[in-house]
Amino acid sequence: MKIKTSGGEERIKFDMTPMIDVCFQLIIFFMVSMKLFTPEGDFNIKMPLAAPSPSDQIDDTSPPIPIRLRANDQGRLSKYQIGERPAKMFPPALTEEKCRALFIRDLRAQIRSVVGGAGGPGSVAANTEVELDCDTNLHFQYVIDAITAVSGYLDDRGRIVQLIEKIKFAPPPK
Amino acid sequence: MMKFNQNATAKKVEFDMTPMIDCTFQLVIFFLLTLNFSTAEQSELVHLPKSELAKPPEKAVEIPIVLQMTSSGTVLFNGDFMPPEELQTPLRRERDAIETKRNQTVTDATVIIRADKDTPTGQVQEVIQICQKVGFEKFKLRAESALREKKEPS
Repeated sequence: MKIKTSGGEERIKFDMTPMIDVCFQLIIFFMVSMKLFTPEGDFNIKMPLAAPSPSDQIDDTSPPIPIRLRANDQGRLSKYQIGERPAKMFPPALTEEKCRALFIRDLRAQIRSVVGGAGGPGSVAANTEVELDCDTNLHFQYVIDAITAVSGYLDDRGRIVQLIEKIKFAPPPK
Repeated sequence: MMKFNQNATAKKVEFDMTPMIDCTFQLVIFFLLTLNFSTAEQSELVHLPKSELAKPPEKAVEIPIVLQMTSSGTVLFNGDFMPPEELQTPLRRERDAIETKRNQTVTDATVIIRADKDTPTGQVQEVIQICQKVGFEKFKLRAESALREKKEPS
Protein backbone atom coordinates (compact mmCIF):
# COMPACT_ATOMS: atom_id res chain seq x y z
CA MET A 1 0.00 0.00 0.00
CA LYS A 2 1.13 3.45 -0.69
CA ILE A 3 0.73 6.14 1.83
CA LYS A 4 -0.30 9.41 0.41
CA THR A 5 1.72 12.29 1.60
CA SER A 6 0.64 15.75 0.87
CA GLY A 7 3.34 17.77 -0.60
CA GLY A 8 2.16 21.21 0.41
CA GLU A 9 2.68 22.46 4.00
CA GLU A 10 -0.54 23.05 5.79
CA ARG A 11 -0.81 24.59 9.18
CA ILE A 12 -3.46 22.81 11.18
CA LYS A 13 -5.09 24.92 13.82
CA PHE A 14 -7.12 23.17 16.39
CA ASP A 15 -9.38 24.56 19.03
CA MET A 16 -7.77 24.34 22.46
CA THR A 17 -10.80 25.60 24.37
CA PRO A 18 -12.33 22.19 25.30
CA MET A 19 -8.99 20.89 26.57
CA ILE A 20 -8.44 23.93 28.76
CA ASP A 21 -12.02 23.63 30.03
CA VAL A 22 -11.43 20.03 31.05
CA CYS A 23 -8.13 20.92 32.73
CA PHE A 24 -9.76 23.64 34.79
CA GLN A 25 -12.54 21.26 35.73
CA LEU A 26 -9.90 18.81 36.95
CA ILE A 27 -8.12 21.49 38.95
CA ILE A 28 -11.34 22.56 40.61
CA PHE A 29 -12.23 18.95 41.39
CA PHE A 30 -8.87 18.29 43.05
CA MET A 31 -8.94 21.58 44.93
CA VAL A 32 -12.37 20.85 46.36
CA SER A 33 -11.61 17.24 47.25
CA MET A 34 -8.24 18.01 48.78
CA LYS A 35 -8.17 17.71 52.51
CA LEU A 36 -5.40 19.06 54.61
CA PHE A 37 -3.75 16.07 56.13
CA THR A 38 -2.31 16.13 59.62
CA PRO A 39 0.03 13.31 60.55
CA GLU A 40 -1.24 10.83 63.09
CA GLY A 41 0.50 8.34 65.32
CA ASP A 42 -0.42 5.37 67.44
CA PHE A 43 0.26 4.40 71.04
CA ASN A 44 0.39 0.73 71.87
CA ILE A 45 -1.52 -0.41 74.89
CA LYS A 46 -1.21 -3.77 76.47
CA MET A 47 -4.59 -5.18 77.31
CA PRO A 48 -4.40 -8.52 79.06
CA LEU A 49 -7.23 -10.92 78.39
CA ALA A 50 -9.55 -11.90 81.18
CA ALA A 51 -7.77 -15.21 81.69
CA PRO A 52 -4.08 -14.83 80.89
CA SER A 53 -2.25 -18.02 80.03
CA PRO A 54 0.43 -19.09 82.53
CA SER A 55 3.14 -18.89 79.83
CA ASP A 56 2.59 -15.14 79.56
CA GLN A 57 3.50 -14.62 83.17
CA ILE A 58 7.09 -13.69 83.78
CA ASP A 59 8.19 -14.23 87.34
CA ASP A 60 10.59 -11.32 87.75
CA THR A 61 8.19 -8.58 86.65
CA SER A 62 7.33 -6.15 89.39
CA PRO A 63 3.69 -5.17 89.92
CA PRO A 64 2.52 -2.31 87.70
CA ILE A 65 2.71 1.27 88.91
CA PRO A 66 -0.88 2.46 89.34
CA ILE A 67 -1.70 5.94 88.07
CA ARG A 68 -5.10 7.13 89.21
CA LEU A 69 -6.77 9.88 87.17
CA ARG A 70 -9.82 11.51 88.68
CA ALA A 71 -12.23 13.75 86.77
CA ASN A 72 -14.65 16.49 87.78
CA ASP A 73 -18.25 16.68 86.56
CA GLN A 74 -17.21 18.23 83.26
CA GLY A 75 -14.83 15.37 82.49
CA ARG A 76 -11.74 17.45 83.16
CA LEU A 77 -8.84 16.15 85.19
CA SER A 78 -9.18 17.18 88.83
CA LYS A 79 -6.41 15.16 90.45
CA TYR A 80 -3.98 12.36 89.83
CA GLN A 81 -1.85 10.11 91.97
CA ILE A 82 1.01 7.71 91.28
CA GLY A 83 0.98 4.75 93.63
CA GLU A 84 1.09 5.96 97.20
CA ARG A 85 2.81 9.26 96.38
CA PRO A 86 0.99 12.48 97.32
CA ALA A 87 -1.84 13.33 94.94
CA LYS A 88 -1.61 16.37 92.70
CA MET A 89 -4.70 18.54 92.43
CA PHE A 90 -5.76 20.62 89.44
CA PRO A 91 -8.13 23.46 90.42
CA PRO A 92 -11.00 24.09 87.95
CA ALA A 93 -9.85 27.72 87.61
CA LEU A 94 -6.96 26.55 85.43
CA THR A 95 -7.49 26.68 81.69
CA GLU A 96 -7.52 23.33 79.92
CA GLU A 97 -4.21 23.96 78.13
CA LYS A 98 -2.50 24.99 81.35
CA CYS A 99 -3.92 22.00 83.19
CA ARG A 100 -2.72 19.60 80.47
CA ALA A 101 0.75 21.15 80.28
CA LEU A 102 1.14 21.00 84.08
CA PHE A 103 -0.15 17.44 84.20
CA ILE A 104 2.20 16.16 81.47
CA ARG A 105 5.23 17.91 82.98
CA ASP A 106 4.54 16.78 86.52
CA LEU A 107 3.71 13.17 85.61
CA ARG A 108 6.78 12.89 83.37
CA ALA A 109 9.05 14.25 86.11
CA GLN A 110 7.63 11.75 88.60
CA ILE A 111 7.95 8.83 86.18
CA ARG A 112 11.55 9.80 85.39
CA SER A 113 12.32 9.87 89.08
CA VAL A 114 10.91 6.34 89.37
CA VAL A 115 12.55 4.69 86.34
CA GLY A 116 15.70 6.79 86.13
CA GLY A 117 17.17 7.35 82.69
CA ALA A 118 16.04 6.41 79.24
CA GLY A 119 14.40 3.14 78.33
CA GLY A 120 15.65 0.45 76.03
CA PRO A 121 16.33 -3.26 76.30
CA GLY A 122 17.15 -4.33 79.82
CA SER A 123 16.57 -0.92 81.41
CA VAL A 124 14.35 -0.25 84.40
CA ALA A 125 11.86 1.57 82.19
CA ALA A 126 11.56 -1.39 79.80
CA ASN A 127 10.64 -3.72 82.66
CA THR A 128 8.24 -1.33 84.33
CA GLU A 129 4.54 -1.49 83.69
CA VAL A 130 2.03 1.26 84.24
CA GLU A 131 -1.65 0.77 84.94
CA LEU A 132 -4.01 3.65 84.22
CA ASP A 133 -7.01 3.80 86.50
CA CYS A 134 -9.29 6.46 85.03
CA ASP A 135 -12.68 7.82 86.00
CA THR A 136 -15.29 6.77 83.45
CA ASN A 137 -16.24 10.33 82.48
CA LEU A 138 -12.65 11.56 82.08
CA HIS A 139 -12.03 13.03 78.63
CA PHE A 140 -9.91 10.80 76.41
CA GLN A 141 -7.42 13.65 75.81
CA TYR A 142 -6.09 13.24 79.37
CA VAL A 143 -5.53 9.53 78.83
CA ILE A 144 -3.42 10.30 75.75
CA ASP A 145 -1.60 12.98 77.78
CA ALA A 146 -0.86 10.44 80.52
CA ILE A 147 0.39 7.90 77.93
CA THR A 148 2.48 10.64 76.29
CA ALA A 149 4.08 11.61 79.61
CA VAL A 150 4.76 8.02 80.61
CA SER A 151 5.96 6.63 77.30
CA GLY A 152 8.72 9.11 76.59
CA TYR A 153 9.87 12.64 75.96
CA LEU A 154 11.53 14.69 73.27
CA ASP A 155 15.17 15.56 73.82
CA ASP A 156 16.77 18.87 72.83
CA ARG A 157 17.23 17.70 69.25
CA GLY A 158 13.57 16.69 68.98
CA ARG A 159 14.22 12.95 69.06
CA ILE A 160 11.92 10.69 71.06
CA VAL A 161 13.49 9.16 74.17
CA GLN A 162 11.54 6.06 75.08
CA LEU A 163 10.52 5.51 78.69
CA ILE A 164 7.85 3.00 79.67
CA GLU A 165 6.38 0.86 76.89
CA LYS A 166 4.04 -1.37 78.85
CA ILE A 167 0.87 0.58 79.50
CA LYS A 168 -2.50 -0.90 80.34
CA PHE A 169 -5.87 0.14 81.64
CA ALA A 170 -7.05 -1.00 85.04
CA PRO A 171 -10.20 -3.11 84.84
CA PRO A 172 -13.22 -0.78 85.10
CA PRO A 173 -15.18 -0.91 88.36
CA LYS A 174 -18.17 -3.22 88.25
CA MET B 1 -15.20 64.04 30.17
CA MET B 2 -12.68 61.66 28.82
CA LYS B 3 -13.11 60.29 25.44
CA PHE B 4 -12.48 56.70 24.73
CA ASN B 5 -10.55 56.09 21.67
CA GLN B 6 -12.45 53.47 19.83
CA ASN B 7 -10.60 51.49 17.31
CA ALA B 8 -12.82 51.11 14.37
CA THR B 9 -10.94 48.33 12.70
CA ALA B 10 -11.40 44.96 14.38
CA LYS B 11 -8.08 43.29 14.98
CA LYS B 12 -7.77 39.61 15.73
CA VAL B 13 -5.30 39.19 18.54
CA GLU B 14 -3.69 35.79 18.80
CA PHE B 15 -1.80 34.97 21.93
CA ASP B 16 0.34 32.04 22.86
CA MET B 17 -1.58 29.61 25.03
CA THR B 18 1.34 27.26 25.69
CA PRO B 19 2.53 28.73 29.05
CA MET B 20 -0.98 28.73 30.44
CA ILE B 21 -1.54 25.11 29.46
CA ASP B 22 1.83 24.20 30.97
CA CYS B 23 0.84 25.81 34.23
CA THR B 24 -2.54 24.12 34.19
CA PHE B 25 -0.97 20.69 33.73
CA GLN B 26 1.49 21.38 36.52
CA LEU B 27 -1.42 22.22 38.79
CA VAL B 28 -3.34 19.10 37.78
CA ILE B 29 -0.28 16.94 38.53
CA PHE B 30 0.28 18.69 41.87
CA PHE B 31 -3.27 18.06 43.01
CA LEU B 32 -3.15 14.47 41.76
CA LEU B 33 -0.05 13.78 43.82
CA THR B 34 -1.22 15.50 46.97
CA LEU B 35 -4.65 13.91 46.96
CA ASN B 36 -5.15 11.97 50.15
CA PHE B 37 -6.65 8.59 49.43
CA SER B 38 -7.04 7.47 53.02
CA THR B 39 -9.95 9.77 53.77
CA ALA B 40 -12.28 6.80 54.18
CA GLU B 41 -10.70 6.08 57.55
CA GLN B 42 -10.96 9.60 58.87
CA SER B 43 -14.29 10.93 59.98
CA GLU B 44 -14.88 14.65 60.23
CA LEU B 45 -16.79 14.06 63.46
CA VAL B 46 -13.75 12.80 65.30
CA HIS B 47 -11.28 15.36 66.63
CA LEU B 48 -8.31 13.33 67.74
CA PRO B 49 -6.46 14.12 70.94
CA LYS B 50 -3.10 15.75 70.37
CA SER B 51 0.24 14.42 71.47
CA GLU B 52 3.78 15.62 70.85
CA LEU B 53 5.01 12.01 70.67
CA ALA B 54 2.53 10.87 68.03
CA LYS B 55 4.58 10.13 64.93
CA PRO B 56 3.38 8.37 61.79
CA PRO B 57 4.32 4.68 62.03
CA GLU B 58 7.29 3.50 59.97
CA LYS B 59 5.59 0.35 58.82
CA ALA B 60 1.92 -0.20 58.20
CA VAL B 61 -0.19 -2.33 60.50
CA GLU B 62 -0.73 -5.79 59.05
CA ILE B 63 -4.48 -6.18 59.57
CA PRO B 64 -5.87 -2.86 60.81
CA ILE B 65 -9.40 -2.60 62.15
CA VAL B 66 -10.27 1.03 62.63
CA LEU B 67 -12.90 1.93 65.20
CA GLN B 68 -13.80 5.60 65.44
CA MET B 69 -15.61 7.10 68.40
CA THR B 70 -17.37 10.44 68.52
CA SER B 71 -17.43 12.64 71.61
CA SER B 72 -20.81 11.19 72.59
CA GLY B 73 -19.43 7.66 72.54
CA THR B 74 -21.07 6.50 69.31
CA VAL B 75 -18.86 4.09 67.38
CA LEU B 76 -18.25 4.42 63.65
CA PHE B 77 -17.20 1.11 62.17
CA ASN B 78 -17.18 0.22 58.46
CA GLY B 79 -19.22 3.32 57.68
CA ASP B 80 -22.02 2.61 60.17
CA PHE B 81 -22.76 4.48 63.38
CA MET B 82 -23.77 2.33 66.32
CA PRO B 83 -23.77 2.37 70.12
CA PRO B 84 -20.91 0.35 71.66
CA GLU B 85 -23.30 -2.44 72.73
CA GLU B 86 -24.13 -3.25 69.11
CA LEU B 87 -20.50 -3.52 68.08
CA GLN B 88 -20.20 -7.20 68.83
CA THR B 89 -22.07 -8.49 65.78
CA PRO B 90 -20.09 -6.58 63.09
CA LEU B 91 -16.84 -7.36 64.93
CA ARG B 92 -17.66 -11.08 64.90
CA ARG B 93 -18.30 -10.82 61.16
CA GLU B 94 -14.93 -9.13 60.75
CA ARG B 95 -13.24 -11.82 62.83
CA ASP B 96 -14.78 -14.58 60.72
CA ALA B 97 -13.69 -12.80 57.55
CA ILE B 98 -10.11 -12.58 58.83
CA GLU B 99 -10.01 -16.21 59.86
CA THR B 100 -11.51 -17.62 56.68
CA LYS B 101 -10.43 -15.41 53.81
CA ARG B 102 -6.98 -14.33 54.85
CA ASN B 103 -6.05 -17.58 56.55
CA GLN B 104 -4.85 -15.77 59.66
CA THR B 105 -5.96 -15.74 63.25
CA VAL B 106 -7.83 -12.97 64.99
CA THR B 107 -4.81 -12.28 67.20
CA ASP B 108 -2.85 -11.00 64.18
CA ALA B 109 -5.30 -8.13 63.75
CA THR B 110 -4.75 -4.77 65.42
CA VAL B 111 -7.67 -2.67 66.58
CA ILE B 112 -6.90 1.00 66.03
CA ILE B 113 -9.10 3.24 68.15
CA ARG B 114 -9.60 6.74 66.82
CA ALA B 115 -11.53 8.30 69.67
CA ASP B 116 -12.49 11.95 69.96
CA LYS B 117 -10.58 13.95 72.54
CA ASP B 118 -13.77 14.49 74.56
CA THR B 119 -14.97 10.87 74.52
CA PRO B 120 -15.49 9.57 78.06
CA THR B 121 -12.67 7.16 78.84
CA GLY B 122 -15.11 4.63 80.30
CA GLN B 123 -16.69 4.20 76.87
CA VAL B 124 -13.31 3.68 75.21
CA GLN B 125 -12.59 0.99 77.79
CA GLU B 126 -15.99 -0.54 77.15
CA VAL B 127 -15.21 -0.77 73.42
CA ILE B 128 -11.84 -2.39 74.22
CA GLN B 129 -13.60 -4.93 76.41
CA ILE B 130 -16.07 -5.78 73.65
CA CYS B 131 -13.17 -6.29 71.22
CA GLN B 132 -11.47 -8.56 73.75
CA LYS B 133 -14.63 -10.63 74.11
CA VAL B 134 -14.65 -11.18 70.34
CA GLY B 135 -11.00 -12.22 70.46
CA PHE B 136 -8.92 -9.22 69.43
CA GLU B 137 -5.75 -8.76 71.45
CA LYS B 138 -3.69 -5.96 69.98
CA PHE B 139 -4.81 -2.38 70.46
CA LYS B 140 -3.51 0.99 69.42
CA LEU B 141 -4.81 4.38 70.47
CA ARG B 142 -4.49 6.99 67.78
CA ALA B 143 -3.49 10.60 68.40
CA GLU B 144 -2.74 13.57 66.21
CA SER B 145 0.78 14.93 66.00
CA ALA B 146 1.15 18.20 67.86
CA LEU B 147 3.96 20.65 67.57
CA ARG B 148 6.39 20.55 70.41
CA GLU B 149 5.18 22.74 73.21
CA LYS B 150 7.41 25.53 74.43
CA LYS B 151 9.83 24.48 77.06
CA GLU B 152 8.92 26.08 80.32
CA PRO B 153 11.68 27.07 82.69
CA SER B 154 11.89 24.49 85.41
